[in-house]
Amino acid sequence: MFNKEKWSKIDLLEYRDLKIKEKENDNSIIKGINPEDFDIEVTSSLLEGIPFGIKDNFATKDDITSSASKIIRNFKPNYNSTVFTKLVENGGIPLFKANLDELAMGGTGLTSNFGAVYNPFHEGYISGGSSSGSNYIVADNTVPFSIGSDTGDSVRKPAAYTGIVGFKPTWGIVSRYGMYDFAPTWDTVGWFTKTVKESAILLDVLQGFDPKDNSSLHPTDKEYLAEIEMNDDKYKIVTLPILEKDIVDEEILVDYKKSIEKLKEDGHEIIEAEDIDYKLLSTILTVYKVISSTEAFSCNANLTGFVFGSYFENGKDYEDKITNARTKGFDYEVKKRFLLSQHSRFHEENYYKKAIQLRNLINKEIDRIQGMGDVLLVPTTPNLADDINAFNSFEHTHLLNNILTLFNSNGSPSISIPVTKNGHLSTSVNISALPFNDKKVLKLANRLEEIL
Amino acid sequence: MENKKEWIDFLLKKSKFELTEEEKDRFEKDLELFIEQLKIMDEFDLENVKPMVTPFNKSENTLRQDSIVEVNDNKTILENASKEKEGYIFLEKEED
Repeated sequence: MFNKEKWSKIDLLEYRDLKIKEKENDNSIIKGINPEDFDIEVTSSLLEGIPFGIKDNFATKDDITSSASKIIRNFKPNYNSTVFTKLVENGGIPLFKANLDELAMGGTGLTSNFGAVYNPFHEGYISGGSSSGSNYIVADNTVPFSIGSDTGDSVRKPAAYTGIVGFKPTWGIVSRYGMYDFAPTWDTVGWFTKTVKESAILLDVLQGFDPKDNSSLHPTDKEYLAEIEMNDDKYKIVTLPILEKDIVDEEILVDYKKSIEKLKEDGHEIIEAEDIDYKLLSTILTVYKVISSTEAFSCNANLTGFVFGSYFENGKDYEDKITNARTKGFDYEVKKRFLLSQHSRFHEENYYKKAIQLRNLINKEIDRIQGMGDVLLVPTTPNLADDINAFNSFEHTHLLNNILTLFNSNGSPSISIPVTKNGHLSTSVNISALPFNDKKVLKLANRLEEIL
Repeated sequence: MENKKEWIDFLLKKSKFELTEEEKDRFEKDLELFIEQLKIMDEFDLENVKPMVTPFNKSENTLRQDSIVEVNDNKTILENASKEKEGYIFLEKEED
């Protein structure tokens, strides 16, 4: 649980400045925040005096929010993201803007204009992305929690690479207003903490319908923290033995089995789902690439260099100026994704249409599997954190490497919790459930954390 | 897609940015990989499958009332432009 007493004894502004200096070379922080700059009334003490960091793709008013991209490097939003406002209203103290892969498009932490973010426990390994800085500053104890965004697995996978908790709730129950769009039908606000209970507090604070976000939905539950403290429920837990063949590092398999055994001993029922459509679910990598890059291309079409902090480049006419601004304003990874989206769109096979049809089939299958019990338990990753020079695993098409993305596809709540906390050699498991079952996910994750 | 280089130039034109020659070579490899990955989609019969554009079918109507709400005013928006004139973003013409 957040240690309010500890933080109340620290001069947070001094602490912020010290950390920015200390951490200059690890690139996890883009810049500091002045908590006094925001005219937001504090109305609750749930997070009183607790410092936090926020990924730099969440708008903070009159404060540059660049999403680690050159093309909006001068952009000062004139509004606060709803998540930021709620955290401050509840007493949280914003101290840091955290680094990320440019425009949240990346899985490594290595593609930011503010420098690469490596694993906090070993520089030869990745931190994971795109919420690389947010992951780093919780893992190295700079802040007790930080906010990230999760489109394909950008909170939960990094969390596994550093042995901390990463959670994304049901799509729509936490407002995305002021979080820069990447792929809105997959984008979810997510966060990093050290414990499941802390994640539950944040859901208590952050969930709620927001008329400013057109994908916002009314949550069906509340008081997550109070509920998860009552650990009397016994669950039906679905597991997928077929995934064991996808596991790369032995430690992951050992700890996945250990989690299952512990839960069995605790009185939960394990349902081994044998009959699943592995081939269909394995298309998720391709489906995700096609749809997310297409949505990203569309959402970022307004980045012309003229508005959002102007990044003017010369050119003989309007079109030429846009082309020059976008050429200099985006780095390769972003350009690659935009180009792939155009390939899908203009190819005679119309791959975008196929992808959204396949999404329908995929979601039916993952809904069916999650619906076989109360929750689904899988390893978070097939491997420990990757070596920074070994990128091959990002393109692995086997299901386990991309399994977390299924839970973005069907919008379900999903949490990664560590089984063995061992720096860059940590292992984790992931618990998910049908949409709006965030409480079950948090309750079982909390129980597993206790019995491990 | 007989000529890959021409196709990449077409995609670049549609995307409104350029790549260096080195980046074009890199993208050609990335595109090849992507084309391989796309093939898996052809293995499914999708004839009567409806497209799905949200994670689940939302039961809520999220349309808002058609009423005017001022979210941003011109002045604050224009503060982000490098130059403004008479309430518009001003783009300077480059001299030949």
